Amino acid sequence: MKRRDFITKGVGAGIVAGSAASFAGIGNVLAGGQQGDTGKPYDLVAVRGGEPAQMFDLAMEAAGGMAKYVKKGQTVVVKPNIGWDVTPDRGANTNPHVVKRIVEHCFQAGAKQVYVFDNTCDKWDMCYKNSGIEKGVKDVGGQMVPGHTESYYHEVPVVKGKSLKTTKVHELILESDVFINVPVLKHHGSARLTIAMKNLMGVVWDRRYWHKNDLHQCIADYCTFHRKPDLNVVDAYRVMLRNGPRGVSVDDIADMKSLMVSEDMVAVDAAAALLFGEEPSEINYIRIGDEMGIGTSDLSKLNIKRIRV
Amino acid sequence: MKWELAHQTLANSTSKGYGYKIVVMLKNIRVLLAVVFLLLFAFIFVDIKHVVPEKFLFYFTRFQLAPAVLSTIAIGGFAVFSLIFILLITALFGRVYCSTVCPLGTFQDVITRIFKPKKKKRRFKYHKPNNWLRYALFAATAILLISGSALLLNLLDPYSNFGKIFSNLVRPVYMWANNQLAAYYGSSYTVVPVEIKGFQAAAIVYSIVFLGVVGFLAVWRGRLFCNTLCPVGTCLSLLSRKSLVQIHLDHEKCNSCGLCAITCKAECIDAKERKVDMSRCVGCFNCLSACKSNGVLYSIPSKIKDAKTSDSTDEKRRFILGGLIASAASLTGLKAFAEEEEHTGRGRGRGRGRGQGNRGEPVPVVREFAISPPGSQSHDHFNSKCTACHLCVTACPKQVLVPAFTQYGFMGIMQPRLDYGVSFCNYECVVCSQVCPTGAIIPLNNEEKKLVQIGIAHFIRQNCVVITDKTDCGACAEHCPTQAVRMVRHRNGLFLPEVTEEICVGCGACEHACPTDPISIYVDGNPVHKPAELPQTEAIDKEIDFDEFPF
Repeated sequence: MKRRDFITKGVGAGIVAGSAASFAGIGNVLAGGQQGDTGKPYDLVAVRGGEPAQMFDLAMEAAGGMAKYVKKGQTVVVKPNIGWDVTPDRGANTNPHVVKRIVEHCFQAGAKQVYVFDNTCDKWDMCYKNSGIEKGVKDVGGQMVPGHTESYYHEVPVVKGKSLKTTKVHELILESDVFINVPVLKHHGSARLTIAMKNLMGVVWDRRYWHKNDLHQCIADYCTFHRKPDLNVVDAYRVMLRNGPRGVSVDDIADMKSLMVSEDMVAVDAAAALLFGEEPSEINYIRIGDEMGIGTSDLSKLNIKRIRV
Repeated sequence: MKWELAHQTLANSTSKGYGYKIVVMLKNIRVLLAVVFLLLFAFIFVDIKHVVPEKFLFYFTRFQLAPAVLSTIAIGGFAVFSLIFILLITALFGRVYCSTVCPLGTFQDVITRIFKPKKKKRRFKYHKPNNWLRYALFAATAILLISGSALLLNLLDPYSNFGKIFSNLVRPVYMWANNQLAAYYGSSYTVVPVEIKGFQAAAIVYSIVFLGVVGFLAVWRGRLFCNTLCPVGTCLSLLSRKSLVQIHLDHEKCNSCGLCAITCKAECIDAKERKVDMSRCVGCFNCLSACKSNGVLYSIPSKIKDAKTSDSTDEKRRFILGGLIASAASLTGLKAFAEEEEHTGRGRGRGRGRGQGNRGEPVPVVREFAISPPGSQSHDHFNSKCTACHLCVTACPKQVLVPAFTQYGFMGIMQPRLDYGVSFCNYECVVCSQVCPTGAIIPLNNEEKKLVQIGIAHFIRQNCVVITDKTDCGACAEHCPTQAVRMVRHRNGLFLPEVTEEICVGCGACEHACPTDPISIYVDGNPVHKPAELPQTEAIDKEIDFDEFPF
């Protein structure tokens, strides 16, 4: 019954809720939080050399804490990359320890419920299980939500899109108060790299359309959709340097032991690209994202906190 | 003789009421077993949530005769035991198999019961057997099987057709109901919806026609299907004809009233002549409880009758002790038989070894060969062993297995093939090979499966969006588990797919992901599966300075 109600009026309500949440985020930024040397809050926090959960703790401490993003009684959707039916050592999915820690932070901040999902490429339940994410999330009280049938997705307009005018988005993205995007940094055969912007391909239903109609432009287009992530957490602990996004074996992995958080998808993608060893301007969707004003890829303009563990 | 002794002991130690209780108990046990088996079989063919463990499916389905025979030939092992068990039970007690473990048998009984005529007298009456038809069909089935085609078993086997009916007709309804429930409990995410996909019109039509024919025969004349068309029934009838324990009419007690014949769905009791055709009796025991004069017996029709040494009213009890002793006697011979069966060895397909399919064929896609599941070894092996029960179709987590129409040729009708338009084969999954009841798909583990090439990906350059639209795509390479399809630098900063055939397993992830129309990459089946090489990788040699931030 609730689902049906949602379909009729929910999309609009979701949009309103989404906008409200982003305004709340801005409010918090203005209100203060952690500040850098210049007195402004950090645009990006990068941590190196620690363990996944530990690095997330340090990053959030510098970024102003989860309470800045999650208010008491709110619902949170966490969107890691759980695309592949492989084990965590393969680095194809977001590190389960990071996801688990994020869920814990959300509950500590007073979240009513924390949902985790991905529109996976391999069989969804196998991905959830073998990635280790399902167990991590459930252990701390979060809820794994499926995203494998079209019934979960609702068509929304992408007003500023050039190639992508409409797309079907998972209801949790539209309904939840807070949206946390948790990509893993990986090589990607077609998009070159997959990080925060590319990770949002996992919240929509029809990815074929994106591939068919200028992939890079579609990735950037979707990032103009008003329900942007409130926070992006890039897991770069184990980084797949080739054969991405699925990878062939653990040989494709290098331990980078890094993690970055930012509200700016373009900035965090640019920083992660540099970490990977690629020029951000070479990655088309990052370049387009910067041009379309989704964020900035010019890291020199940003207030960055660097933490060495 | 020890038999006589046993009978005398029974006769002396039992009272009149005891015999009746056994009769009632027999029918009740039969009904209970039939219901349990029917429900279990019905469930495993609609089990969209995959709650039944693969191991259970493997063992459970091997107690069906056709799978037991085929699996004995293809892989041996447990099937040898289950085959001997089925044959032994039939040799001892008649075709009780047909009234208990056979799901289609019980399914027909259910149909018969729903449509039973109001007037009792019109239910069943004795008919002569259609011996010519049933033995001809059985012989044709056997000859076809020996010559390398499971076609007639596919079309006639009761288990496999029960599977087709439930997998193709009931499963979609079950899925739809599940999705209604999922929508109702939407926001709690407690009921997970499923994708209703992969159903084939041909298989649905086939199942409806089969259901119609079997249903009509069941309403018209009970177990007529089992006693004319069913090769399993005919096969077992060869043993039950001379089974140790038999239904027979007591020539003294029977008054030829015909009450037994009215309830006999096999229509094999000739009350006038006081004869029972044990080759057609399906062991339902309805006649036993229908008889009001204790004239129907289920016992060992031994020389005792001639000797007239025992009290005939107690004859129906004899089967128990007799059966037990007979079982014990036969068990001693079991092991030797089993060893003998083991030597029948594995039936591996020879393979046709025709071409590898079309490389770079112009648009649209022309697929030369269907894609058979990993473990099926070759089309020849698969076509000769698969009875198209569609258990793998139901069990496949990716729903990539669909019933073929003529993709394997007419002889392979309804046998499952991989349809990459619907889905693709999960790299780390061997469920179909683990559940296949007949050995048409030989069991594989994950590591073995990765070394099997069921088909080869072919790239059609002129269809690819990178060529036509000059934009990046890479959906194919993205999904490829071995990077047999990988993106290589093309021009203007674009990347184009390239196929390395040696490491392609033919899983179809590339084809399924391809967004163009017509598709730019497709898998053509290997009619004989080939070995796939594992992708070679070297560890990345990169020094990482954890203190360094490149920004």
